Amino acid sequence: MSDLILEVSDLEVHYDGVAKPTVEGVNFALRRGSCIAFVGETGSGKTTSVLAATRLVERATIRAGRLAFEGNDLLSMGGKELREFRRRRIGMVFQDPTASWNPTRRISAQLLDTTPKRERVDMLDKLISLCERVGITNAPSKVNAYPFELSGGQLQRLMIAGALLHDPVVLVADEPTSALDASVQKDLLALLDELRRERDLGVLLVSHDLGVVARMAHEVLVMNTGKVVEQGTVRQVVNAPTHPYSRSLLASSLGMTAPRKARLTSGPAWSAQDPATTGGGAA
Amino acid sequence: MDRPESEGTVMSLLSRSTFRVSPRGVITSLALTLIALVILWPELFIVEDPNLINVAGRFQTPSFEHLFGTDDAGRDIFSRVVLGARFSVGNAILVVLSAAAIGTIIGAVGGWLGGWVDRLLSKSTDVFLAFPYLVLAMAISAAAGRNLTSAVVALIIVWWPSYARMVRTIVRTQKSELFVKAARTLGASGPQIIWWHVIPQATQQLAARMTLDVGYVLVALTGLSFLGLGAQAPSPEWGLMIASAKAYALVAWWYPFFPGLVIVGVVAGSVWLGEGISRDKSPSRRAAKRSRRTNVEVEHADSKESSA
Repeated sequence: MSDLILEVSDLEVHYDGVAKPTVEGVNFALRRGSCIAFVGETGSGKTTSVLAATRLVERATIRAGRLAFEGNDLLSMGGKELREFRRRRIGMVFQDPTASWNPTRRISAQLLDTTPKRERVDMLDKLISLCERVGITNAPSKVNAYPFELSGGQLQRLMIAGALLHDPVVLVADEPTSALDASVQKDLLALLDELRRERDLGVLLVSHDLGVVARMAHEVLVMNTGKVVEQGTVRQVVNAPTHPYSRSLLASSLGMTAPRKARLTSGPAWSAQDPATTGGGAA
Repeated sequence: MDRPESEGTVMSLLSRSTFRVSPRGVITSLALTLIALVILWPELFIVEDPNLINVAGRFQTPSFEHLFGTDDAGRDIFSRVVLGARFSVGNAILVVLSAAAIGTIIGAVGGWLGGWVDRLLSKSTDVFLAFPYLVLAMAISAAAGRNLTSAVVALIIVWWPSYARMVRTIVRTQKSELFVKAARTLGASGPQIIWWHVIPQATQQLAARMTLDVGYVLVALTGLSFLGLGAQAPSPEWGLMIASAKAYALVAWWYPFFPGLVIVGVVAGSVWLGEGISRDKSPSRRAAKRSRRTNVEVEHADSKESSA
């Protein structure tokens, strides 16, 4: 295995004004060229965990046993150092491609704003070549367009190009395809996978689609009500899930591969809070 | 790609400018220029010393010599109205600018920082908003002394809270947008986000609101003067002129009529202009305009294709 980028242990996130922690006890280690997926239903804390691990959560307290990026402590970072870290080391792709762009500003302006002026011309060239790499045709005019002139798939591709602009080592993809239609989804996932290999990126993928996860990820964290209920390699989790919630999630998965077999159940047969049922065979 | 950056900037400036070449735009520019001239150089329009008392020539009906007639002291009403613009409209603009500045700062700080700062600031804003504004303004200016300055200060005090509330809402909505989070991941700092994503949104709404408010503040200010709480004689402030004219309304209809007409005109103009800005500046309308333009281009391309 290649070198370690992001180490997280015992991550706990408290949103301001919320009594219970939204996420607790998350542990993982991201290496270059690997992909860790977070699965779970809406509100299970998967996005919060990923955003907290990259210090992108706002109005919340983050606690962790260890939160280190390439050996540097992320929790003690602040101000300019943190901004530079976000700009240079992390690329981020959000769920909703139309909402992740300010409708009144040009694509190029939004992506190049934070680049110092003297680097901007070079960066624009780089952005255009990246756009061509992610499958944008006629990139120079697309880059100068306003967001509403482009389709969701194009915007998401531009977001990926923008995320790669500063050659990050980690790409965070928060349900990157859930707002797009099936054919675009497939292409984009293939693209993300190619880029990961090409650039040796560490990818943190948030998804509720186990079909996507099975294709993309190496390691899977199944989350439910803010806790990790199962963690392991894709093969372990998908082929032989031990926790009843993972099993239920897997059986209910629509995916792009097979028809749905069953509806997701969260009945009284098991509970995420009750460690006794973890690994038990209630389902 | 050696596209000069200036081209993009100029184009975007042109497509964003408030006043495109349109009938409304032309009328607006002319009216604004006229008002600015009247406020800054009333000497250009004044035909007679506005304070020249001529008892023999009192209550003259409107004529070419005295366009708006003369008042109870024989002074030329037209010249007095022209000079009064500085006191009435000028001070109304001053009130709006100051109130907007104070309100914007307080609203932006509260909306941006959130937490207890926000709670403190918005509660104090609410306290001011709870009073009927004219009653509060009357109380303040009566307590601070009956003159124009205290009326202006009183109106600033009652007018800023509505701006604070508006700006706070804009800042909070913009701050929670996904594209602001996206900008953060690209390394944007707080001031940069305010500059790129909050201020453009706020200026559009502020411009419309401030233009409308010039009219409303003018009514409030002349109202205070009318009640004797603002400008004092012999100032040619419009509200005061109407107040001194009311005793002679039956013998000299032009005395209260023309200052009143000018007030109505300025208020109507500011409302008309303010509504124009808010309609023109709303994102949906801009998008519609743009897509119409794009459709025309597409149709054009289609007809070319079919003829080929």
